[in-house]
Amino acid sequence: MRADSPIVRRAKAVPLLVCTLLVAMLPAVVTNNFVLHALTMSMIFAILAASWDLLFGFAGQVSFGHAAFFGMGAYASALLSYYAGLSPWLGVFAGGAAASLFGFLVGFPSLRLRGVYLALATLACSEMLRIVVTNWVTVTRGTLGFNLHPGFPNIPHTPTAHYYTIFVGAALSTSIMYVIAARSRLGLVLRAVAADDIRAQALGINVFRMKLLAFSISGFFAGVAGALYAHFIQLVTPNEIASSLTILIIAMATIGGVGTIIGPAVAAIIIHFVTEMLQIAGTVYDQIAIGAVLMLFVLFLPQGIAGIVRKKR
Amino acid sequence: MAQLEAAELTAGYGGSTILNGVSLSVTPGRITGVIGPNGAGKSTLLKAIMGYILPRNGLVRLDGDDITRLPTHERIRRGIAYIAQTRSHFPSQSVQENLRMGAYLVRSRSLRAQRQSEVFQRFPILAERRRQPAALLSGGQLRVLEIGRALMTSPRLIILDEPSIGLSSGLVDTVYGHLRELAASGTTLLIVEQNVRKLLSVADFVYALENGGNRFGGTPQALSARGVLAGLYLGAGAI
Amino acid sequence: MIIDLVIFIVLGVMTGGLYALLGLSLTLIFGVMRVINVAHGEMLTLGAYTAVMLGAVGLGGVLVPVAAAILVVTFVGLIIARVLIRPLTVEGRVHEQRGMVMTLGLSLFLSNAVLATFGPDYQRVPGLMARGAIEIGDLVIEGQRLIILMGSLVLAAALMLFLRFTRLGLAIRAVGENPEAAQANGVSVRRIHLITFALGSALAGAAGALITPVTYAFPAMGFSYTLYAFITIIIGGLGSVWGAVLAGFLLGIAESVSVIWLTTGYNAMVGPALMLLMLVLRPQGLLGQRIARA
Repeated sequence: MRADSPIVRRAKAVPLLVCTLLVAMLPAVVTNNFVLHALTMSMIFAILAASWDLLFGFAGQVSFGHAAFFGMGAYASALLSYYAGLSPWLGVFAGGAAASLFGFLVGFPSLRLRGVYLALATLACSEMLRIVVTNWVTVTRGTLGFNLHPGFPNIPHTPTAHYYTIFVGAALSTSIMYVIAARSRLGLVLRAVAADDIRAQALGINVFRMKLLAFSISGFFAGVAGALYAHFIQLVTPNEIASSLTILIIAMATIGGVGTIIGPAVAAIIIHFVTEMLQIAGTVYDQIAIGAVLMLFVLFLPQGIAGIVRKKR
Repeated sequence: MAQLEAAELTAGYGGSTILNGVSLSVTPGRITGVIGPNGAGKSTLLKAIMGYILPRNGLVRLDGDDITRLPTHERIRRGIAYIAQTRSHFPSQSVQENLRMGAYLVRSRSLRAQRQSEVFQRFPILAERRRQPAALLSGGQLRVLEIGRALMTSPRLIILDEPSIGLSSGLVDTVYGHLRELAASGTTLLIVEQNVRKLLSVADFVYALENGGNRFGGTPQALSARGVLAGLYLGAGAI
Repeated sequence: MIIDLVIFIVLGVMTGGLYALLGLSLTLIFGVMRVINVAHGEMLTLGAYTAVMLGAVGLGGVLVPVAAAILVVTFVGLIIARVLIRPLTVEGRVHEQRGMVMTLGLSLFLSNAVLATFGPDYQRVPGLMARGAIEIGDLVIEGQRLIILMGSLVLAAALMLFLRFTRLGLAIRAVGENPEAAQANGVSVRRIHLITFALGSALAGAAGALITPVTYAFPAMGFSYTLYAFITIIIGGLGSVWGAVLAGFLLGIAESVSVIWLTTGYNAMVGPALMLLMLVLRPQGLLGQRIARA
């Protein structure tokens, strides 16, 4: 299975910058803590969706175990900051590195496979991680969840401060991923591999190494998202490694439009924020809606929202 | 009245157009051939005739009835059999099961049994290997299996897409021998071929396609006489 | 020690029957349509909740819930195949990527629809299908679990006989192997896709009805069964009916026996680990055919 050959989609810089500034200024107008909290979580999802898109939309690799990268980053940072006293600021990078390493290890057996086989291999690894984390109760406290680690030090523990912390993390991550994917030579090579890896190999590209690199980079950022999450929410459970999370990520990325990085990020923010608000309002139909919307998109708008935006230009 | 007729067919895949107003007429009981360089639209023509793709313009008529939009299995029910270019069989199923699939539309068990024994009589090699999986058959035997499979519906018209492909010249002769016998017993054949020489030796009428359009239609003798062939395969400047 | 091993093997055979049924139902769908049906477990969920609803109005037993589940899920499966999957089908094969994402959305939709309708609580069929248990020394075989095994075997056998000896079964196998050739023989590939999807889903639904007396039904129950179904067909070999049966029992036994070394909880890793191993070493599985077409 290959992603339909990704066309280079370059987001226009100015509207993006304006949007980013607007998002940065939101806490000035939004004072409701619930809303701020939901927005903050949404940005974590944005990093996640973008990282999945980096792997799929650009490198053409289906990851069905992305929740594992997230969970790996979360647990790594949480455990390190508790057991080893690592500062959460460093923990974010440690989480990313751990997830990246995990991605490397997962990639080794999996990346010689294609399509559904690759997807299932990543799923297998993800499930195995989840089972280990669930059962290694002495270290991780299993299904109770791990909440012994600190939050972010040196900042006030207000929703606004958290919002900005995560915002910086999300903005940086997404920008770096976008630059790598759409505007760097590495991204070009990855897209060549995704489009036709046999031909890419004939051109002298070490396809396997490139795919492994894509896995590691994607894993890194998903891990960063996980670590940010760990110190923000201050509770990490095996649910963070559940397939339901992977499914949600894939849904967000698809609706946003695979192959654009920005599309999935924006879609993730909107979708998660809306569902959070709906949940607070008391409905159970939010996830049903996501599923229904996803199906409709596959049928009628396979390029996602980003595709609509492109057509309007 | 021609048994099969295609009139001004325009068809393609996605955004591209392969056939541009191709016409063809197949006379009952005769062997009609279609030749042309790669990309001329020969396979596309067959697919449109069989109903695998729907043409954008034009008609396909069988015995005068418009079948342009008829589903494939309906066309088969009306007596057309189709042998595709590659792998028109089921490797994991036995020879007998492959023939059984050929008779999928034949509901009467006795009729199926009768036709199967006719096929076995015509092609003893199939009878020998009736229980073997088709995957074990050689290239030539597979072609024979595919013809046998097509015969299970007792078709009035058999369409073959490059029957000689992948076969040694000896096997090609064998296969064409069978085809000649079939025509002699009254079955109409429409054959698309790359092996022009072989086709011309059996065909009663030949069409040449080029770039999705008709380039020639006539007897093999007329084709050779007019020197169309060189131009067809080597480019217009070659004549 | 040997006794323990035997006990674990027997217990493994019990769960193996269910895995075999799951694998069969999915290999049917995947083998013929090449759809990565992420929502397969949700068909099981629907069957389970059908049994729960019937149980709530006093209709218990074995035959009624299973039959009802088959009916309900066949109906749902036909709708799904017609409305959601057929539009993604080109030349007899479902678009792999879009099919996967579509069933993904379906999975989200269905599991949450069940949640919205029935609530998050674990539900169980009141009353039992069969009481009592057979005891042989330390080995206790609950009647319930025996029913599951029997039911799975019966359904599996029925499916295999159907595929082997009926005209429709032959057509289904043919479409799975070579859709163009099947079409050339007069098979309506579109119709076969509908039937196959409905049939595979119905079997999963039947499995759901079978397990409810033993397992609680809850809205998110589907996915782990989807996972096990995929593990089974990967180990057994995509498109191989006997492979699914063999793999199902192997998986059940392996998972059960591994408790000796891995302790309960960790033994759940056996399934994914075996799948990964098979993918790396022999992607076509134990009995799978070489995938002739990409």
